Amino acid sequence: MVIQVRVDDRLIHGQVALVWTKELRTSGIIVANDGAPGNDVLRMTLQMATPTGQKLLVKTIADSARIINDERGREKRIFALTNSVRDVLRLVKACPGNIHSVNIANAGRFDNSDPAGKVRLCSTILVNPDELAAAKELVTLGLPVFNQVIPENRQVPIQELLDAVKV
Amino acid sequence: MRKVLIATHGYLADGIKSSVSILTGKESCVTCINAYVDERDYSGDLAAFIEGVGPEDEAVIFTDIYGGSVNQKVVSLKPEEKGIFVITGFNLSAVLGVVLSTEALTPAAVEEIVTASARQLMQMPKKKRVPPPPDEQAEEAFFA
Repeated sequence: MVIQVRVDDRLIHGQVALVWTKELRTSGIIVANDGAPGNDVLRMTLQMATPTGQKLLVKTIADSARIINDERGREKRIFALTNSVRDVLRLVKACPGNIHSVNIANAGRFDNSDPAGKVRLCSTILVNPDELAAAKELVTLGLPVFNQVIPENRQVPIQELLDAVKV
Repeated sequence: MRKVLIATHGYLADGIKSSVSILTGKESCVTCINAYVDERDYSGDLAAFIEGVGPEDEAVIFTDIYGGSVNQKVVSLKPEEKGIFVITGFNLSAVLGVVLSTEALTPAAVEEIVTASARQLMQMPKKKRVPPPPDEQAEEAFFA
């Protein structure tokens, strides 16, 4: 069971993995990203950022979904990461019932898309038109979708943020 | 209650507290002494922190450099008599380890945080640490 998928444009960084894996009591981290498995440098830095005692898998979205839907995956408490809303939407749709929640923590700052076309949902979420469409679809899928950068923050529903910017 | 004091030459203490805040949001247990930024004698602030530690508290004092005047002053106040741990030559990892630890701060737990954090001071690139290739073996290990 994926307890939480975190959308973070920096994937695993700083103490994110340490703080959240403790908070969520998860023992495995899956980075779901189509470009990552073939990128040695990225895989090395992701491994560096993984806390001792946590197991890491770096997989494409399709392979991540296969592992999450695996019987053994359903029994394990997993923390997953994507770096875009579009990717988390694909992952959630591919894993019906096996993902508990989505936390869009940090998004859209490093995606190289035109800043003029971006909408700010909150201080840590910027979305281009494609990401915005993905966010709107994600909130209709029935699982909790919120923004919470660190555990001390309140979970702010993404629907609330979408309503506030009226887009 | 867990109480952390960071005592440094200059504003390093405030800077570390800022980093702890950004990364964890748990900076409320951290007290800072930025020594020598003005004429103020910080001895009283050190003594006040130690004085404020009760028997039910778990307290750690971090100082920036072994043998420095701040470290000497801390040691002279004998914080160990109140069960306060002193860690010198600290790094951000060590402070996070103490702030985030969900276990009781026993001498063994503190030693483990110190050892793990000390290992993080290193020259990079260390050596190639590419994880195993994305294959079935890695998946088996993930579920093991």
